[in-house]
Amino acid sequence: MKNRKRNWFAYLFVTLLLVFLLMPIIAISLYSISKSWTTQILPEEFTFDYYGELFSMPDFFLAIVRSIGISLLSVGLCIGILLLALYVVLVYKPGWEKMLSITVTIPYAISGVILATSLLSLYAGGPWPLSNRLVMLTFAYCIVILPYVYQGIRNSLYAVNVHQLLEVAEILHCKKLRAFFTIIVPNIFSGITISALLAIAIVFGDFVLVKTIAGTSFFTLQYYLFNAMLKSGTRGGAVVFVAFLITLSIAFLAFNLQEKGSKHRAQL
Amino acid sequence: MSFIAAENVTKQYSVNGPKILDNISLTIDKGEFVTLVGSSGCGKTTLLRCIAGLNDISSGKIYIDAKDCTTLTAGERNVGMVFQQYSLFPNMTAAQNVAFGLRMQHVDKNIIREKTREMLDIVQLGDKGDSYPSQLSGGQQQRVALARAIITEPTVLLLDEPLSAIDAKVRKMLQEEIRRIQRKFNITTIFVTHDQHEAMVMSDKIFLMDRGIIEQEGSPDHVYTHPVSFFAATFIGDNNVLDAASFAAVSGGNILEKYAVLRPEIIHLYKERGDIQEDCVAKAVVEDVIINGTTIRYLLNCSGVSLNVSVLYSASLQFRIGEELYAAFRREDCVFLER
Amino acid sequence: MRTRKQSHTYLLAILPFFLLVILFLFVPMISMLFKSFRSPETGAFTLNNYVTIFTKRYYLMSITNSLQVSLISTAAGIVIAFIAAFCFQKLGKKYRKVYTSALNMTSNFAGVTLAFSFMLLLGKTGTLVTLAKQMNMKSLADFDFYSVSGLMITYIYFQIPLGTLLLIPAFDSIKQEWKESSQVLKANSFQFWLYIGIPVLMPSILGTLSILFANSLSAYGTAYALMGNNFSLMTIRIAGMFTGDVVQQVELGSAMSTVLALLMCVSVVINMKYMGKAGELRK
Repeated sequence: MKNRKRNWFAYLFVTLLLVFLLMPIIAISLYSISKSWTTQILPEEFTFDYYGELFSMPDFFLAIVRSIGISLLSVGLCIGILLLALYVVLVYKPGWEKMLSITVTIPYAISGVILATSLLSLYAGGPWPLSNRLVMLTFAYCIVILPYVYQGIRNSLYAVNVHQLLEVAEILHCKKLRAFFTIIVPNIFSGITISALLAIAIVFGDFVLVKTIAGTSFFTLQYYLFNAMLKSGTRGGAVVFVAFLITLSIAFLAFNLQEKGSKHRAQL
Repeated sequence: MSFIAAENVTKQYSVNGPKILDNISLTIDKGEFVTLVGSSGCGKTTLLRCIAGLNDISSGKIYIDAKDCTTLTAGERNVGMVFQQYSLFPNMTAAQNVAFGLRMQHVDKNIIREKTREMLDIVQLGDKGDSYPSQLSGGQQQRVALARAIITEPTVLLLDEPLSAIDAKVRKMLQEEIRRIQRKFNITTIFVTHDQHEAMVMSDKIFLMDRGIIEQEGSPDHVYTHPVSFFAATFIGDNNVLDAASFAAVSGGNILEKYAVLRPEIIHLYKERGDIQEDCVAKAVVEDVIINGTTIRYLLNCSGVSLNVSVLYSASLQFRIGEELYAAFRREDCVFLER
Repeated sequence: MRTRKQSHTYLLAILPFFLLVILFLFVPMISMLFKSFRSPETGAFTLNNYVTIFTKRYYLMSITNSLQVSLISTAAGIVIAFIAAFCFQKLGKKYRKVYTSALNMTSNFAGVTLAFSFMLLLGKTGTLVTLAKQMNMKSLADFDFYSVSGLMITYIYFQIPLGTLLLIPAFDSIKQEWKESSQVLKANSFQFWLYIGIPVLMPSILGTLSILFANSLSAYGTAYALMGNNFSLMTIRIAGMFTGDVVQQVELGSAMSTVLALLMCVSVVINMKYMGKAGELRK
């Protein structure tokens, strides 16, 4: 009896909150399929024309490809670099771990505008390959996602008995580096994947770095979106929706993998 | 009128669902220390929580101090409660925890301070008043929880397996301490445990529960020596419960009832047949010897029937594994059960 | 027994990491620091850059605006997130997956895409504004979204899911036994939260607060999409000083970046301090 009385407030608040949070998403979805929507609450006519238009433009696809491309590249690089670093730290220099974890936490504070502008002012007129905008951008993204990828990999490493596995491998005459990549890494694969997906979502949704560093020379989807919205609000709607859908699917995948992972672990 | 009573209490989570408590009635006198004991899922904790007012009951009545409390909330029932773990508020010191109940009743600050100090001394934690729960051991935390529950002078003290998460050595000491404090204040107390030894050691009265009903009630001595069912006989003590065929194999005699209960101490062991005075005798082989300090437990194989026997430690009379001996007992020392 | 002549070739494996972090994190950071103390005319050491940004109205306003917007959106965000987390955990484990997915989904909705979606709702010809005009709700009908208030709404929007997701696990640490003990000791629900619940959650609340604050301080896309260079925020000014049509002011920009970086560092340190404490209390 007591529970039901108090729960109505919880239900009400939660519903109102979810309405507020979902409203812009619903708005943008409706907008992208409406022909004209100026005077009414709901659009007058529905059309998928904008999507048709959008998908027929090569620029759009190129933008998506660039966005996904650089996301995958920077995330892949970051994972590779961190795995190698963690290999050295875990196997040879455990004393360095504290320093490692502090270093990867710094990008939390030095990100976005600060990172972009400092990189730009430093390397813009500098030696190749550092002055290449694309190179700058890719490695800037690597820095940005460092803490997230590190956290994900480290957390899953805690669950694996790294030292014991490596000792067993050594007894079985397996070289350390090989052991690390053929035994340890497959065991933390799901942890890596989840943090990779999170990192991809972050890079995909970034605007400040691409605008500051690359400017107009590298049109990612976010930049495309920005310009599209400026030019024509309606077409922008469809772009926004597609961008959002992609980010959503990435997050959804990561979330589901996480759930599956924890269920699997619970069953063990 | 008894001090605490439950009258035809039933609890179900849904109308046709399983009955967690099935038409339970019990009475407790003022100042009594009773224990609800049984295995997991028997309903003992649920019953305690219903008496506390933390859970509702589907039908029946609960009386505390002869007043019908069935519709009252936990706060209105004036009970004291100690949980199995996480009893204490982690952001408050031991003293603040103990004082909390009095604070809620708007007692004068000076009186609170004095009473808190007094109570912490009684539970022998006078110097730990300013410690936080994370700085105290499990046993110390439960003592503080006990102090917190008693300081408000509740009508009844409810303890939900308070020692189950405590180390064995500390547990024994706490059992004595709880009993000592309870006697000092003469508080009516209901104690829940799954440990039958604990129940036997601490209580004035035991309620043995199984699957939502009270299987047997009585003093520890009575429940031990006169179990009323197979469940009671096997739950309390380390009894040998034999069916008719096994009893015949061991004693040579027949029984009308379903089971015979032989307590470990009623069986006496002899090397020679000639010294035996008891009426039921059987040959047996020693399968295992376990020395329990003051007693020795022998596991015997008696014509295919496993018997465990408990004798006082004696340096002169001891049997080894594999040795053949005679196990003897008096038929009148056995308890015979219909169910 | 390992001999002293063990090869150090394994250090090659950590070389990429060192290179990455040195070239793209430490060197830029240090160069930014140095530039912030450099005079644009003479190249000599000077504190002038800092003096300028804290005294000239144009720059000072961006700092105060950033702080204001961040503090307000964080305060509003944490209150709403707290109530939301409280309500969500009350709904029980049944709906957990549903609402955490919903929150995860909306927390990805930030930056430029968020700004545009809100424009559709609250812009000059936005849905809600049109609706308000029809229903004669003057305050909403005349709402100018391209202002601080509009910015605030979008900022609060992206603070809520993040804050809620961070606070929900904290509520898990509130033990049922504490609630029931307080009930038995005659405390009502309000007293429980006042004396026990909120104090226990305080480290998590403060930790979350600092994350939300850092999050809104460093936001760029949302503000830029909404108001371009017209609204004075630290992030917008900094970007403007390094790019764009106006003459570049690298030194001033570096000084402002340093100030922003310091503010962020403080937030991150506070967060690490309190989240660690929260984990301890939970043991």
